[in-house]
Amino acid sequence: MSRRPDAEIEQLRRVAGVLTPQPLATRFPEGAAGPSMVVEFAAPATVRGHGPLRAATVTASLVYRRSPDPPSAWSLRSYRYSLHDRHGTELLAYHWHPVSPFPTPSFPHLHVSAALRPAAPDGSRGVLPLDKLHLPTGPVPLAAFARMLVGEFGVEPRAADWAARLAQDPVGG
Amino acid sequence: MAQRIANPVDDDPPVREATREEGRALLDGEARRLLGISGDEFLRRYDAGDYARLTEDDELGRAVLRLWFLIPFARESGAEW
Repeated sequence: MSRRPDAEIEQLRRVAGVLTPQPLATRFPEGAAGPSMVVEFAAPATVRGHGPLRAATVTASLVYRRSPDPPSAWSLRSYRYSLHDRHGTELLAYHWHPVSPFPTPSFPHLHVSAALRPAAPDGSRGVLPLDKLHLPTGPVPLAAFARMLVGEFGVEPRAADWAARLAQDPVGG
Repeated sequence: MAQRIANPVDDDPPVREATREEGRALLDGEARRLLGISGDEFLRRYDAGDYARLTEDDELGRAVLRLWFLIPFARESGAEW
């Protein structure tokens, strides 16, 4: 590989550092689709949540692919991010895995561990389990996931300059 | 929602390229935690197509998807990588 994505890795480190000091592990597989970079939280990372999110954890897996044009550009091509409660129960999961072997949607999507209760014609209430549905999203960079955790779920950022760190994610796609 | 930063820190997480052995250990640990099998057994079942009909809509599918992302940590390359 002609160039390791050092700048992109540093950016990821700064984004992840808003949530956790958990080490990030990387590998650089050379697959049929060309050079890739995979990044993982080495283990579920405890975030600074409060109330029902105290001791909540997040996991993240990201796959970047080096673009052939220009050859120095790396872009996010697959990911999975999830938020779990203190017992490890999944609350939210953002997925995008268009090349995975599973017969699932190729578009970026969200699973929510909740259910809708729509009214049925007979007056009863049906159940639509949102954790099993694929709610479409655009591509979600890790910075956007972190911004949501801080801004919407009240997770306490670890870095004073968190807003600047999460303002943009140049490799987020 | 107002942000509380009680103890701001500046120790960003380290980023480290895992060796093949470390990658295999990562996959093995997660396979044991999520499926109760070794990483090698997960790879054997994956290669045999045992998970080919899964979706990621349930707990097993979510676990396999998590492990699928770890395959390149344990192997030099994969067809889909």
